[in-house]
Amino acid sequence: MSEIKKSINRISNLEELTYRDTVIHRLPPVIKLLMTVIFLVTVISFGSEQVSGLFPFLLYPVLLMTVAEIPMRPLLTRLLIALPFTLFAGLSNMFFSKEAAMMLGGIIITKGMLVFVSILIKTILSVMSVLILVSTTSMNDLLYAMLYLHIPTIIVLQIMMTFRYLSVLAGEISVMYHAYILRAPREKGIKLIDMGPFLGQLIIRSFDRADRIYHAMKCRGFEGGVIFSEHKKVRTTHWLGLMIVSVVLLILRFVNLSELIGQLVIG
Amino acid sequence: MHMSDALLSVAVGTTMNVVSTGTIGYSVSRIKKYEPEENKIPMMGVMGAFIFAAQMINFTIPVTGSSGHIGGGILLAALLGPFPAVITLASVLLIQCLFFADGGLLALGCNIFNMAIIPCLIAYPILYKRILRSKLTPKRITIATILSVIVGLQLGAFGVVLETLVSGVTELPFGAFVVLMQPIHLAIGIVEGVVSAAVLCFIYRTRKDILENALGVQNTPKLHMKRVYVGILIVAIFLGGFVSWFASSKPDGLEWAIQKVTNEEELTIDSEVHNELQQIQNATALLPDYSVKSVKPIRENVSTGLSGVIGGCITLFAVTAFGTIIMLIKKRK
Amino acid sequence: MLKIDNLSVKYQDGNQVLRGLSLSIENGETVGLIGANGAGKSTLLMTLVGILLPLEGTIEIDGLLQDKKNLRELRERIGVVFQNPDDQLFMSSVYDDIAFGLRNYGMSEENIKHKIDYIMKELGVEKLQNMSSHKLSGGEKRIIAIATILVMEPSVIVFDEPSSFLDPKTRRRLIHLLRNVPMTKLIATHDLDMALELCDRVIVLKDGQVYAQGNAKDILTNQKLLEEAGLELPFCLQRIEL
Repeated sequence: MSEIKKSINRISNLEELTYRDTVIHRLPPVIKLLMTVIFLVTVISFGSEQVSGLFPFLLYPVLLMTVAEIPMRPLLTRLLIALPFTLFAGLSNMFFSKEAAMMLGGIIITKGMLVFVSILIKTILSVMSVLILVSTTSMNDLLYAMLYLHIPTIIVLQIMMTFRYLSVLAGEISVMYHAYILRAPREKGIKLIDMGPFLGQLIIRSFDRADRIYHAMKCRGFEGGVIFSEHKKVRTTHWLGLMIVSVVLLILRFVNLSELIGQLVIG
Repeated sequence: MHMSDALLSVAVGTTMNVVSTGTIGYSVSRIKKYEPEENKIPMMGVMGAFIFAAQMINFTIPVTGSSGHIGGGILLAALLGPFPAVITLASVLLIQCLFFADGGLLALGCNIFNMAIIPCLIAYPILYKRILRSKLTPKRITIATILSVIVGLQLGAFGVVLETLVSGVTELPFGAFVVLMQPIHLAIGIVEGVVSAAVLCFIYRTRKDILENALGVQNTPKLHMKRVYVGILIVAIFLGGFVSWFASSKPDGLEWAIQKVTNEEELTIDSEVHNELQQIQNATALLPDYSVKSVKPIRENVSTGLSGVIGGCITLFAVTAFGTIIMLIKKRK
Repeated sequence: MLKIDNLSVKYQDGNQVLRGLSLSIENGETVGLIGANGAGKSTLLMTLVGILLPLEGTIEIDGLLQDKKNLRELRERIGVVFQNPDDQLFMSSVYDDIAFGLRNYGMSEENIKHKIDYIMKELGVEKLQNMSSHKLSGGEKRIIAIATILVMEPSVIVFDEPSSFLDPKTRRRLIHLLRNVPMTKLIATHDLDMALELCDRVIVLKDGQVYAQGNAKDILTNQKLLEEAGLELPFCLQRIEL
């Protein structure tokens, strides 16, 4: 079951990127999380046919990736996997929306084409910004950022444990899968008829595991109370920095930089 | 059917995030109130990981020979109860969004709504619970599960259609989109329903108590469920009515606001537009095959096409150069 | 001192596992708990910390009698290292995992930091502090699992199969580590060689009762006794033809 191994490796590769020590890595996780959200909102807020205005936003991933020394490859492969669906939705616009939008040297650019390119750039920007967030911020830091934003402990714990037991459960399921496939060499996967017992067994084992974890928690005095430390203080300079980035993003949203440059060149 | 950020408008994204956050908040309070034992916490955590792992196994679908995987909403609700199931699925969706780019961060609200809230808090109580309330037998479990999985997925897929169309980023016609989405998800639903039913029947045979617990815990919420429905209904009306009006009359909320702010620019565009339109009409005459339906795109794009392209190229070049320079500086250190 | 008197435990399905078991362990002693599968080792451990409640009989630790109401206090005095470290390490970072128990008992963050730094240095695993638990190797997981209990300074520590899943070198490291743990230790294990090396005394369980107990060397060299209890001689005492 190479698919399972691949998925776990993917997470673990992204996780290893967070071990580096750069300016971006050292930023408080809350700031990075908020910055990503603000960036996303600004990008998404562009109209469906706007293309040129989006170009300057490419600076964000390029700048962060170079400063944070994030290697291109793992992120780009992730992006490629995310692309098909939006590509499909974007492409379909070419057929449904053939109104002319503008002329370029005698070629008609239809609305559909603009929408397609716009969706493409938005996908790249949104996917990259999230991937940059997780490759510069460890899961633990993200959890603390969530606590800082007053997300209830029960949810933070839930995300933490799901993340913690991903590899454990994936390991278990992969062993079971191999055991199955070795005895059913002609099958491409688990037969539908066997899915009941196959997943059922794993569910029962998972329930037992959850019981043992609960006992382990109880044995160390768990009563549903505080289990995280107080979050690190975020300095005023960081908030100031976040504000500056937001203002720059907003300006780029209102003022089409590409346009301006173009007009300057044309005269 | 994970929705991504690029196909979403800010208005729809925000609305759905608010709805989902509210529902999750409500679920948390329900869990705190009705399950004072904290043993649900590790249970939910491990089951989240289980769903994740289970989604990675492909099973073979008979006859077609193709393979598929489960979504797990009804399965989780049947094992943990609806409210813990919503939170568990939401955390799975968050992790998928962060590490696998499966669905966007702003689209998380939509995805949680379509894939967690709809199956667990709508399909589960209306169908699964109602069918099994009086008696728990393998036959009933099978029927209840298959039905609720199919209905849940159909509603979820329809949710995707609505949210995408209301966003107005892509211009798929409503009919085509529905015809595309619903039948695919009917097929997926039947298979997932059968698998979930088989799993639950196995659990029934080996650990009946798990199913009984999950059903029994939520004995009271009948009245409370109404509140959830009313909430969802209000939001639906809000979405369907206000937002779509907003979206259709003003192509995009923020853009509209921006146009208001930068009022003067629009005025200057107008005169140029006329010119450009003339050209376009000429062009269409030369290219009769190409069906340019109407000539009314009065947007900044029309007047400023060329400068945008040139400026865009320069910007792109500048960004790349900038990145390379930083990289070189970093390397030299 | 840990004192168990006439302890009986029955599972919900009616299966009685412990039948009138009595034993006592002095402070500072290292006691091995051995027996075939199903003899009642795990059940005894789970009952000690109140995860299972006894049908009859009493458990007493340092004069504190186990009772439904004082479980919290009891669990501060007796720590359990579970068989599978994956069950014990559930937080996202090693640091938070070790701090978990201390936080539950209301210790200040400053003191917690101090204690964790000390214990990790003592165990030679300072580097692992900020790692995520799922990234650790099997041996590291075991050591951190032990650290989560050691840091709470209970008076008795109960180990469930501490040497399982370990490669020989890591097992050796574990034995050294356990030897240096100053608390009273109760070690449930199938690893009789380790029991022979580590334990002052050994208790043999059979059918939910104490079948034999005494000096580790006496018990673990008694082939007849061990075979009656469904066990065999430690490997180091078996003559294996080469």
